[in-house]
Amino acid sequence: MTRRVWLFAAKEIADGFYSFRVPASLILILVLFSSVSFTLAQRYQDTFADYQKRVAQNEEALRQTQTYSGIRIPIEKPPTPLMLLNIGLSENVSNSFSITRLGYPDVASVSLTTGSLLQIFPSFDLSLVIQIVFGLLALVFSYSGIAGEKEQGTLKLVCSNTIPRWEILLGKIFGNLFLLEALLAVGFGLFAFVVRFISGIALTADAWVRTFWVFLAASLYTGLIYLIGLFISSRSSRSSIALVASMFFWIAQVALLPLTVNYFVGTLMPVREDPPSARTSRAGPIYNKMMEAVRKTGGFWGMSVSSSGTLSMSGLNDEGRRIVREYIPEWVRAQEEDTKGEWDRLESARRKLEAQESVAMWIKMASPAFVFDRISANLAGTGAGSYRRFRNELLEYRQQISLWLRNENAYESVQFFDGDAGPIDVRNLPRFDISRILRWQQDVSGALPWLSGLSIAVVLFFLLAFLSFVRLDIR
Amino acid sequence: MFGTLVRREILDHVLRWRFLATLIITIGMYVIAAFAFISTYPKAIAAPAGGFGRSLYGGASEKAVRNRVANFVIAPRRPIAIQFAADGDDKFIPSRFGIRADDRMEFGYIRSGPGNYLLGRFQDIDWIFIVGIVLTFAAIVLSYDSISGEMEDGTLKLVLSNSISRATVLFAKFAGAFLSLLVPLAMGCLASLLVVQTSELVKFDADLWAKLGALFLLSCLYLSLIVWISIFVSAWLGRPAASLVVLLVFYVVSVLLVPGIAGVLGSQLVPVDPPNVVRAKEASLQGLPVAAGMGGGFFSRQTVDFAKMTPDEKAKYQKEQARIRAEQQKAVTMYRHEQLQRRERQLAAAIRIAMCSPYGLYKYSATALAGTGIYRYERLVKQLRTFRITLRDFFLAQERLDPKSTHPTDLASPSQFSGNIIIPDDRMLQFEEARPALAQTVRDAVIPGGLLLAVSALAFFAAFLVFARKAVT
Repeated sequence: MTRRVWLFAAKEIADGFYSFRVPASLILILVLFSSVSFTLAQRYQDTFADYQKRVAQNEEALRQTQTYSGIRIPIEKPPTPLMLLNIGLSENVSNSFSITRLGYPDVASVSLTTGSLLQIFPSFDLSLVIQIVFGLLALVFSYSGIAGEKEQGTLKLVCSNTIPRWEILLGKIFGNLFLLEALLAVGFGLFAFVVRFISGIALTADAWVRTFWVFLAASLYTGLIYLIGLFISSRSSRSSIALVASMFFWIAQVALLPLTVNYFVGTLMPVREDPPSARTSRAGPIYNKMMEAVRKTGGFWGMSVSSSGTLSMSGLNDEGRRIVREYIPEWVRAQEEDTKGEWDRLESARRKLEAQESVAMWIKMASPAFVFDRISANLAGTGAGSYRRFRNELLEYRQQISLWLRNENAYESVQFFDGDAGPIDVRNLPRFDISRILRWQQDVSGALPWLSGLSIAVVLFFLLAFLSFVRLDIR
Repeated sequence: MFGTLVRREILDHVLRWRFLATLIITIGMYVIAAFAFISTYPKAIAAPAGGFGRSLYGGASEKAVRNRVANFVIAPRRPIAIQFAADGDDKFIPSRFGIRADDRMEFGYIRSGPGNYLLGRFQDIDWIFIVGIVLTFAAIVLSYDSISGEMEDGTLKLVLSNSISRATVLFAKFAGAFLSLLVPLAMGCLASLLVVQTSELVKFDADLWAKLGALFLLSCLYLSLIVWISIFVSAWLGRPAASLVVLLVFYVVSVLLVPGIAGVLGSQLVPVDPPNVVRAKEASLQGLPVAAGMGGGFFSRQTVDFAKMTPDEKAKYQKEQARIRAEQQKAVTMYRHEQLQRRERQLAAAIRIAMCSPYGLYKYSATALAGTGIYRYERLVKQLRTFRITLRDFFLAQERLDPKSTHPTDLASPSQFSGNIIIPDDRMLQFEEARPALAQTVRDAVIPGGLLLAVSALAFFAAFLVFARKAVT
């Protein structure tokens, strides 16, 4: 690398500062990042306060649980302050899960029953701001890079010296990328400052590492858009054409592709749900037999079973209780068998949704903005990958709970269905270790293929811009 | 002279590749969106949940009043034809409502999340989306250099040195850009109409035509606003590149940022109780522990032994219990009602924020005009509230005909009905959603539409003043 490259880079940087580009961008970023970070930080604090309340409620509810049959262990996915960076799925799906004896722990979409009417507004985060604003800035910094100088005639003068063309190009790229990355750093700095010192949210070391990776991804995204802009500039005869072509590219990758593909894939390739499994219930006849036997004991009593398999009863006499206890182990086994069919159906429904999403994903990959969004959602721990891992951990945890129920002899005990003895003892209930899914290493390794894809695109467009500039006829 | 200038402007635009690109993208989107509509519309109209319009009265067909009262009336929303043009974010709006004739419950929303949650939250594509996102961008790209480009080239000086007034030049510039934009707009709308009409799924009546016409005019007004803003910026800055960048920043703020931030701000300005708080609160209002609100692990037991009671004591006890339950349910109803109203206020606040941008003004005036989305929701909720009262009066009237009944004056506790009068299905009241006439929807659109008009006038004056005073060197 010769000194001249740095000289060119320094000239580009100075040019940027003297023109309206850098000051205007700086003001835009200062205003946007500080206001957006502040607003979103407030929302995070609300979400976090709500999460803490939920956890406390859940603990209380668990302590009040009176029967093993009705055991329901609620698990909350904690909100992360990085939802400011990328809100991901965290507002589309419920973050509350529950482990029950028969229930399938899955990410459920949020129901409007108690939700908000504000769903009509698009979700909003800093990643969207970066996609839109830095996508635009990178193109504004690059459109006149080659076409503009050619138009003004300065390129001819520069190239008529003894300076190799690659040095000119590298100087341009380094100078402008330095400016863009510096602006990006200002944005992230503002985010960190507002979150830490104005909103007073303490970021853990883990969150800092993730933020750093998001910054890295944002740098790659901005760099890629800049190089694409430079490529367009080198292929255009006039800077105005380069500008308009760049802007068409910008709107397509930032808005059109991500917004329309979901809709078209969603409506033109609908997911068909499987009908409920036709297999006859095995638990039903056993339950009826049990009821029949209990009925013979006489007296006022009531018994019911809920859709989640909770058995409720009241007013049974000792004989009735004995009969129920006798039937329970067989009934529980039959219930579990019955559940398998339903689980298969839910599994298949989930796989279909994932298949539909992956079709949309492959099309949207043409948009660097989408790729960046995907990476930042993954890194922020709010993406689909993170929820998938969460679900898998929950499935494993459910096994532990089943084991615990067997170890407690729950199916043989009267407390399986009878709450008269007061709450069941949940002190030695195995608890879900939430920290296992919160480590950044897994999320970063999940984002690595996407990051490398972005890096490959950067190299590709660098080569394209380079070749195109080297072969450019500058007359 | 004006005509010549306009013709030249149009020709200038039409011969450029940016116009061709706009034309292809716009028409393509209109056509694909129309196909997407006709592929989903029949399924939506034949929705599984018991049909639309004709309400569902749960359970068996022949039912005694007391059973009727205690059952929900489900009133699902039927998709309407104009949604292909102005969908109004329909899928995010409550689509089924549960009403009970007794005062026990105002509304229960029954709804699962829209579509595949993995795809994230995305808007459906309709005419408003295409005009608001694509054609707005096209309007900026077509007219950003209308003044500044000619100033840079030096041709503006030559034009103005003729005996043409600046006003003529300005209007010709506007007319050229606006008429060029009308081409993709009109062709796209026609293509969309062609697809929808040939599918024969939708009945095109006078009301639909009138609403579509009004939507088209509103789109024209909105696009003219964007063109005036572009001309204003172009004349003000005098440099094409700078004007394009400033206009795109405006676009980003108006189309992408303001609607995004409106939802966040709305939720903070008018906070509502989150779902878990709602559940816990409802449980506590019913005198139940938290666990009951969380949906499991708890059940109440009979603490009184009826066997030891005299029939009088038993009746008294049951009556007292019914009174307590009715009161508790009333408290729950009040709470739900208050929460629902807060949610509506929250939404109204967010919409007002979104209307701070021209795109928001356009979107909500178009939605109001079409009578879809949130405007339809508000109207429907009002109708259902009235319907509930009608239904209650109907039940009470039926009950009065029953000689065996004790004739309670309110329906708070259906178990008080001692009669067994049967109301067959064909005599039941049916809920039919009343469709608003054009005049009503126009009334809804007056404020946002009027604001849009005012902003357009403002942009026009700004452009006019700046251009009239601009030193052309």
